[in-house]
Amino acid sequence: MANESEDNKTGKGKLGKPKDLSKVPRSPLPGILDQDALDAKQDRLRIRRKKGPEIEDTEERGLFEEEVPGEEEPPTDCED
Amino acid sequence: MISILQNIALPPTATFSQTSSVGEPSVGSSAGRIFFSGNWYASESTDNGQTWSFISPVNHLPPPSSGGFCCDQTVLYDKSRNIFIWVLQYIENGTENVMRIAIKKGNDDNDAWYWWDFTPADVNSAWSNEWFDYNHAALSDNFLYVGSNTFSTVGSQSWKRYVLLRMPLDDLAQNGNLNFNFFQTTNDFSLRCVQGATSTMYFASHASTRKLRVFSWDESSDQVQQRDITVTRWSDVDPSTGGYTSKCPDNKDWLARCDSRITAGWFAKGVIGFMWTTNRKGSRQHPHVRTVRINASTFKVLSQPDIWNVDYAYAYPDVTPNDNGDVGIVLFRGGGNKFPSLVAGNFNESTKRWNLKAIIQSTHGPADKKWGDYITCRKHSDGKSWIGAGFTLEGGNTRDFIVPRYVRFEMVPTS
Repeated sequence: MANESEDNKTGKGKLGKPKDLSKVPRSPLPGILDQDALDAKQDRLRIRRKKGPEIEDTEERGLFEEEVPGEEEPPTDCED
Repeated sequence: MISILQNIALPPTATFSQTSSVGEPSVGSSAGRIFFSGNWYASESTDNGQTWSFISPVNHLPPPSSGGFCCDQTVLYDKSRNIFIWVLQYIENGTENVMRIAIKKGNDDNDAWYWWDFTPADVNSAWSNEWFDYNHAALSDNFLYVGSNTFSTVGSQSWKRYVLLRMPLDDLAQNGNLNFNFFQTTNDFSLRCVQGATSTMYFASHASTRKLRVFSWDESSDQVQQRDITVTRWSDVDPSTGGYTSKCPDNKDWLARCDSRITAGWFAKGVIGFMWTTNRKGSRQHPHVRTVRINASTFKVLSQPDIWNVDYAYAYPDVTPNDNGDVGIVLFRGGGNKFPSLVAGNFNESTKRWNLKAIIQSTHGPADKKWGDYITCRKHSDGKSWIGAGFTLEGGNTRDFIVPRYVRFEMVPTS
């Protein structure tokens, strides 16, 4: 279990010894998936993933004080 | 120039035909042994890719009681401790889910996996009713880092935080108790660690479309530093459609699912680099790959060698440096007159640009308009060449026609 320090956003913890295949029962059958269900779940996950913080577009706010290199990189060559 | 040393299509027996157009392949290799994972399979070769054995991520390792296997597998090989690292994400059960970190020796012929299971509440007891999603992993000299977003299990399942776990490689290799540190932020989404870290891990996310937020975590410290670095403005929004889009010759959109999260990072030769897929903007009329190279001493931007083309899109980059500090890359290109294609290359230190070589092109675009969410580049155990885990769509346009691909490539001096 862990302790958290909110001010520096770090913490630490410890887990006990791991499990391993010698200590748990195993299925002799290959694991079969419900691929349709997982496909649908992936779609739902992606919608949720997009609910992270919005990425702020700063162009309209005029925060352009610092120039950076690379504004006009040419197209990238790719050998076919 | 780039020389392709291996380009191997994993056969259906390697995946039990359990493939997805959201391929998410990952890979690690130790000498002739290759461990490869993806949605929804894992596979191992002990003869350098000639033959493959299917390993079910569903039940090869007994699932935790809280929920069965979901997705988001990540594989690493740590040469310093000679261990394979296999990260698996399990299904959320309404109150939590498990992220498993499994280990076996690099030369193990006895399937001697052992593992630790983390729930968010195992990291911090205050994080009940949260679940992990979208992990990635990276190494420094002495630690494994595994990061993940967490989301609420209740209500609208909103994003809660990003958590980065730091675990001693010695603990992982010794099969005993596992100590860990963690960093968490409730401000920054989908952080990405660099590959190739030594005594300091660097990781980053977007603070805005004009600012990259770069974090550094020294191995000897419990504290994390952060800096905001100004970069050339990029766009997360298509001016017409809002989201990402790139139509293949059959009018199938292979980037409808894409977004701008950082998918690649490296540290080598005193340079920190990060890469992500950005939307079209200005003269760049297709989604493409933004790159930022940063001086690790001054944290000043050195250059921004983006990867783009006037006729088609580039997306989903991943990178890693080899033992010489040369940076290898795998990514996709597609759209316009091209179906999604796997591309490999390296960063040319002389020209400060990317050398790229197309490896193979799909025959179709995805009918379900899904691709990604990540592919993987690692250094080969020879320390010189790179390996990549990617995929193509061959012979049809549904997930049944996804072909996972293992590639190995190296940089060859031009005569």
